[in-house]
Amino acid sequence: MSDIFKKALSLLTGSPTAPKPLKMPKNRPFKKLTERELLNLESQIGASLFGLIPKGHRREFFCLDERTWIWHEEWKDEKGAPKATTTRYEVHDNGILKVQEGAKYKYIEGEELQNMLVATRMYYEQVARNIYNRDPATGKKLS
Amino acid sequence: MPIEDTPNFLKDNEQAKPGWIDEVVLEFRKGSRDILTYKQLEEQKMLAMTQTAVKAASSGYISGHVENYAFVDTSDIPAPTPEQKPQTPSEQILRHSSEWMRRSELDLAA
Repeated sequence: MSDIFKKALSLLTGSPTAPKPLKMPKNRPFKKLTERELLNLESQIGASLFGLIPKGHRREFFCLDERTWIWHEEWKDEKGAPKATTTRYEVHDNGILKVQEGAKYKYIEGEELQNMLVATRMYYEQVARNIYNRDPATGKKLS
Repeated sequence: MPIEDTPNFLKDNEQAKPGWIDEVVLEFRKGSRDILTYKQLEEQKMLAMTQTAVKAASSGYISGHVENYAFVDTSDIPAPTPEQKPQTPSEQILRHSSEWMRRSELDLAA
């Protein structure tokens, strides 16, 4: 498994049990939050951008770093066996590369690309305001 | 009156026209439509996003999104200058990376 996948999965799962969703601290004591916790907060917003999550599914969507976005989804199949898929979207100068284990890598286009553009824009707007208390237009802290 | 029948409702690839309407149609997922009032957009802090998207669409920087939004007063939308080039999808997504905000918070916490 590539290093980037390992990093993403370790940030997602860290422990054998999935972390409980974090509630937003009222006074946002960021000094007590780790990178993983901040990513979890961002991912809660990211997961909500794509409409209803199917029952029994757990979804994560977040910006791992400047050039990497992660979509992770877990569920159980009809036999109750746990299933998971992690998709990495790499931002290259010539396009957005969709990377999935076991699938052919391809640059996204058409509706999928447009949806990705809108999702990242919405993600940034909501994460900036609701987690980092910043104006997404200027990047400055909100009063 | 259905919002689609209002005089100023944007059709595909139409440029935004002056004047606000009361409602903005956000159709992010196909088949899913959220109709929000201007006041709701303000309350949900989505107004800047919507304005940004419509400004970008009006300036020709993003095609295909105009149908997803209503129209805004375009009087303050700057026309593209010759040296401005439409951003590629990669450039747009890079602009919306949250990493720098996260890093700055972690630096403060260190």
